[in-house]
Amino acid sequence: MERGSYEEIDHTADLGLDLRGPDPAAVLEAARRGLLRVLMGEEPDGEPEEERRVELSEPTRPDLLKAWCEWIYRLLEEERFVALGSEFESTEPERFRARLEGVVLPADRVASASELKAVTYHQLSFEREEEGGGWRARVIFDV
Amino acid sequence: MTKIEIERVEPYVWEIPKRGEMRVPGRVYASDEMMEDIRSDESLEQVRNVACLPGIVGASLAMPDIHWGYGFPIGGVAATDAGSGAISPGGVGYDINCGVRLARSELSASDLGEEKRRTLMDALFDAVPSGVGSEGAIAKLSRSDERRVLTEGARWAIEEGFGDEADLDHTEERGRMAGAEPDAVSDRAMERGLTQVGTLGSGNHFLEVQRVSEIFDEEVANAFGLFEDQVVVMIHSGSRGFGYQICDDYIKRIKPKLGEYGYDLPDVQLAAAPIDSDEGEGYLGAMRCAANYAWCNRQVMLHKTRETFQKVFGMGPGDLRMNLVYDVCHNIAKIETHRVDGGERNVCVHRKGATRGFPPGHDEVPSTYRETGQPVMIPGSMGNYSYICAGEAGAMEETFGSTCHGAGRRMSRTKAKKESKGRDLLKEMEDQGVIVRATGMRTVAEEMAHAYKDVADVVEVMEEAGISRRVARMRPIGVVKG
Repeated sequence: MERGSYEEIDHTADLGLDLRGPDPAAVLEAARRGLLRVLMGEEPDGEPEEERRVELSEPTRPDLLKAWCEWIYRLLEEERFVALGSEFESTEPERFRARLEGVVLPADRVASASELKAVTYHQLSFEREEEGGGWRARVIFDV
Repeated sequence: MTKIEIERVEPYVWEIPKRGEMRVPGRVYASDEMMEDIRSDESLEQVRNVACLPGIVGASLAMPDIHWGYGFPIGGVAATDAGSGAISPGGVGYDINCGVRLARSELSASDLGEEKRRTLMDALFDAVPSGVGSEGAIAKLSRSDERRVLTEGARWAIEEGFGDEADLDHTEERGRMAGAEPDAVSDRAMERGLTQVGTLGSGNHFLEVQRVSEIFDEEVANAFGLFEDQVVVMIHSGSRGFGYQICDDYIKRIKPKLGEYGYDLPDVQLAAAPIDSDEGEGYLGAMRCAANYAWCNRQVMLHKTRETFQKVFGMGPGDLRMNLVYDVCHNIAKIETHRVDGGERNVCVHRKGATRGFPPGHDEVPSTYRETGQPVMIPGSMGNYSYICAGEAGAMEETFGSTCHGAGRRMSRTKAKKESKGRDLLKEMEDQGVIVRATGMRTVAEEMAHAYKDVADVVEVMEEAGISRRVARMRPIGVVKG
């Protein structure tokens, strides 16, 4: 699968990501990598030891991106589970199923991450690019 | 970025004229130098957007610590008619009742040796949990105790032995907002709230041991219990995951209903509901629960701090006299009475990154401070300095009883981290006489002084404009960060 990409947005108070990918799944996977880099200072790597499954359904595609980011953070904060990779079993405009592979980190490693207060609606977007057939998205986090 | 039309109307006040969908003009408090920074991001556009809120009265206001937020600018104040206007969860922010409290002591900083300061900061770092997922300051709440926290606020902490009655006298709203409705809170928020009472969190939250370095108004400082070289403690935190969840839940609930209300807003993050709608009333009830949770949180942290000081210095409470000077919130919506268009009117004042600063003689100011004006704590950037100010009459005339809340960011977190690369930030702070204990170095890099405006300039603008005046300045000698 062709990888998506992310770029940190220079937002004064908060943190955000501009995301691109050849398809929605690649954009969501780039969001996972970008979010964890924003929170932990680097993209996590290593050998996955556990997996989690998630099924999300939201009214729109941007809402789906927001819910996905919230889920990644929830796993980190509540289960200390950091997702090292994700595989999408299905992606429809308003719902998807995904399998996440990752590891459970020690409490002090998680405590030293940045806290995510929220994934905001401010400038939230997830749409097909006008040219080139790819996908792009934007998400701003309150930290 | 859209170019916003703005003109100076008073020495420290700028106005965005009412145009298009705006219902009121925008008014920004700033100096010339600040305005240059402010123009460089999207915050003025956000002031203009807020001016489109249904039922907004007076003006969409911004304090001099304004910077780009999401929906509302940080440093924004908006009052909407309490009967026919709207309430916006985004106008309060995710960290409902994020706020600051300052406690005094009988200790002088010059009496503290370096070794003692290190012991103190290590002990405070252990006593007040910080960072992502921090919990365990006190035992996990039972469901029934959590409901009591939500309705009783700081009083719950006092009744459980985490402080005394005098603390309530010196807390905005006596640490409890009436009208809290636990039934309006989601199960997910209730779950998140069970373990986080007494925890600092992360980001710009901190617990600082400070030294009173300069006094500007001896008489008022005396009334606040402050003297030069005194050791004081400032705590900055909010309602933790409980409050974040409530804000998110209600924006989600309100967003699909905007059409039904007939609201056409320029940014979804401004999502608002009529105050008298089910969603508006639900949000107010839930928001008040979060406000009470935050006051309880800061009360427990103050208690842990007192215990730590007593242990480290071998002093009893009577000798230490670590009394609460005051506790203010700077992310809140409150129904208050203000003069609008020449008459008294009940309005819903949204303060997002703005502090209530009532003047001398106001009924809501505790009797101890009735002659001085309400104490207002304005934290500066890490390693720099903070201020305690007092509310002035101008605030009631111009800003719905509000003033600034902090230094205000001028640099993005990404840029601050880049500029901190390769530097030994902890050593730099130690060289300035500040001992830092942090859960994560990334937040230290993001919060370095160079990322913020100079808080001295911010409080000066408020003083020149007659909104609040400086009482004393405090410099940090130790910092605990998430």
